Amino acid sequence: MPEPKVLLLGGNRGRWSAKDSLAEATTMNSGEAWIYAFGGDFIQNLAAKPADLQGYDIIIANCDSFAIKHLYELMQSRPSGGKWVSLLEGDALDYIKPRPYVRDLLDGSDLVNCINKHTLSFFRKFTSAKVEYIGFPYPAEGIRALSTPLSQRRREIFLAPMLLSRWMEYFCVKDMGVPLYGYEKRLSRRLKTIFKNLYTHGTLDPNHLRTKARSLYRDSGIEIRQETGLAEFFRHNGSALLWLNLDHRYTWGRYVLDAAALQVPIVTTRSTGHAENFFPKTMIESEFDIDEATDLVQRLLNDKDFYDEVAHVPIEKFDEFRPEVKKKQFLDALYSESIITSENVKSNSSIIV
Amino acid sequence: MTSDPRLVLLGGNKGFWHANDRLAESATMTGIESWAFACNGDYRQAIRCKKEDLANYDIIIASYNHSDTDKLIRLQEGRRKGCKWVTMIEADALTYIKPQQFMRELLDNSDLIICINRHTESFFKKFTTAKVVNLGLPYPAEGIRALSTPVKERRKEIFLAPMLLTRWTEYFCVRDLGVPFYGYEKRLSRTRKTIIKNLRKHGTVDPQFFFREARSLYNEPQLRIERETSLPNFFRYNGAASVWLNLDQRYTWARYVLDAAALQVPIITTHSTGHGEDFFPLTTIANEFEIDKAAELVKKLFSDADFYREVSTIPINKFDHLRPEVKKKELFDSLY
Repeated sequence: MPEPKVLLLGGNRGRWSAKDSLAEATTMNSGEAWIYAFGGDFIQNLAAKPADLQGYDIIIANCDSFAIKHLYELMQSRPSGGKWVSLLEGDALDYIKPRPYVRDLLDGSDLVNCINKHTLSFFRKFTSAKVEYIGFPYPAEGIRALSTPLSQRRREIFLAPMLLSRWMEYFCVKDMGVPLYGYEKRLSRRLKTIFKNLYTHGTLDPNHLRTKARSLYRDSGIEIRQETGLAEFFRHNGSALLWLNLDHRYTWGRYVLDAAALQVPIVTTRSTGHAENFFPKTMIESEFDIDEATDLVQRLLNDKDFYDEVAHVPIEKFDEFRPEVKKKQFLDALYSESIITSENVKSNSSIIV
Repeated sequence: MTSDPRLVLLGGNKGFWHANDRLAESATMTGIESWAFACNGDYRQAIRCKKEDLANYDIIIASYNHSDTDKLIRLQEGRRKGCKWVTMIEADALTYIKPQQFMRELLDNSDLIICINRHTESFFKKFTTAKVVNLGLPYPAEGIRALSTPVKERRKEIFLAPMLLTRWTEYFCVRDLGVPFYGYEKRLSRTRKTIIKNLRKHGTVDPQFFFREARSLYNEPQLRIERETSLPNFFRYNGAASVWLNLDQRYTWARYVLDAAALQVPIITTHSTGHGEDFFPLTTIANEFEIDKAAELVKKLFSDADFYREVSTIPINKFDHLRPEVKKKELFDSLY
């Protein structure tokens, strides 16, 4: 078949095509990676109109919770013959609370792309649409090119979530005597966000979130960095000694892939979906296994052989994430006959009482 | 100490009462109020409490509530010298992992932190400089077992244990199994204090609003929606269901698991509840997304009578560590 024309509807602003920003392809580790894999286009989901969908063979819709209703309405006007793929973006826990339109959106899709392997069976029971665990393409080579040799790394621990979103990592390592750092955003002062931010935060100070983090953490030893571009993010954090990410969510788990691509050990949780593949020796079962996480950090700091063993991730381990592999997997799933329907699930699972 | 210390429990529910005023409720009280009964103390709504109201108590147990943290801090600072302040980690421990104002101050200035989920104890021990003990709550197992239903008289039904509008994972797990299932929803309150808030939030004061909402979202004629009821009625009715399903993602006190164990009704539940592995090791799944395994366990409970009996036989002495007098002693030993 000829190359399909693909549109990605995502939460970020803007309209652009893969060919317009090729430089970013080598570090694009999120949903936008699909645009580069297909040479497709991007439109912000909330800004998209029915006319924008015309001419596309495949529409991949990022299911941001704020856009569910709009996407459902948009789906009704997809071009005849066009395939609609719902991408389960964000935390799968967001889907366990009843919400309007979400089932309608998924049920009306030609394919649901699940991004966390632990949640596949849930989504297969949740919707009558075909669900496959595909995730995203991942540009491992591009990111590995930004890594730092072991001997040049800073003896620092990177606390992987945004500091105001979770502070477990901090409590896990605050008494170890190793410098810590994390990130916070700048408060936007663009016309579209200025009133919302003023209402939410009561200020337009671009440093407000960092000031707030400083006040809540009450620890002058923690460095609070400003959110940065992906290339700079990889360069800087690839030269930290280790990362800590005690994630309770069921997401795509990018931090784990990033650490693996940069060959930096990360202590992380099973829920990320990638830890058991890339970092089986530094994976903990749950986010509250904090003593075990602390012990693992100590061991990484003190046992060079262990550190080297954990950090050594061959680039071939990323073969399954190569854009061409993911693209084939995606197209096979989309254009092959569905083998999972609500009817055969029902007939296989009924019991007699 | 020569006599029992005078204790007050500060919670989110309305009212001011003494344990003696409500003795009839003590036999089925599974909430934080069980501390008031165990210690023959008082209960007060935290937000309505003044510094002077706390002047005569030796122990204050404050149930942590995010919206009242600044109020609790003020009460804590104003307590009389010698009075012990105990902060109880109420609700889901995951709500403590997001940085929040006053939270650390309140915990650090407590004489004791009562942790209610054992998986989270090590986190709270790192989180605060105060002493942290996994004490949980007293649990009136005998009173609840008295309301249980013999196995042969049970309805062949599955009780979906969370409120229906809070989570629907359980529904998707069992909807195709061919066994009737049901759950609960609240009535929308129309009291003077809630009417404006509810009207603003829900656009209606129809008491059936949540039922209709659940009916519309689940879109499932087979689902029976029961109305929230009193604790004795809750135990009587649900003790007569064959199986409970509670795929909880939270790290709470997990009353559903204890309730099912007291009623000797099998429950399929998750590791995060903290009690699953003690009371229901054969039907506890590792996490809330192991939905295929949960469905298999439901099927096995309905098709294998020996398995059902093995899972549901829970000697009452398994609750000994939760007896009110045991918990009270643990509390005093930890404090003094």
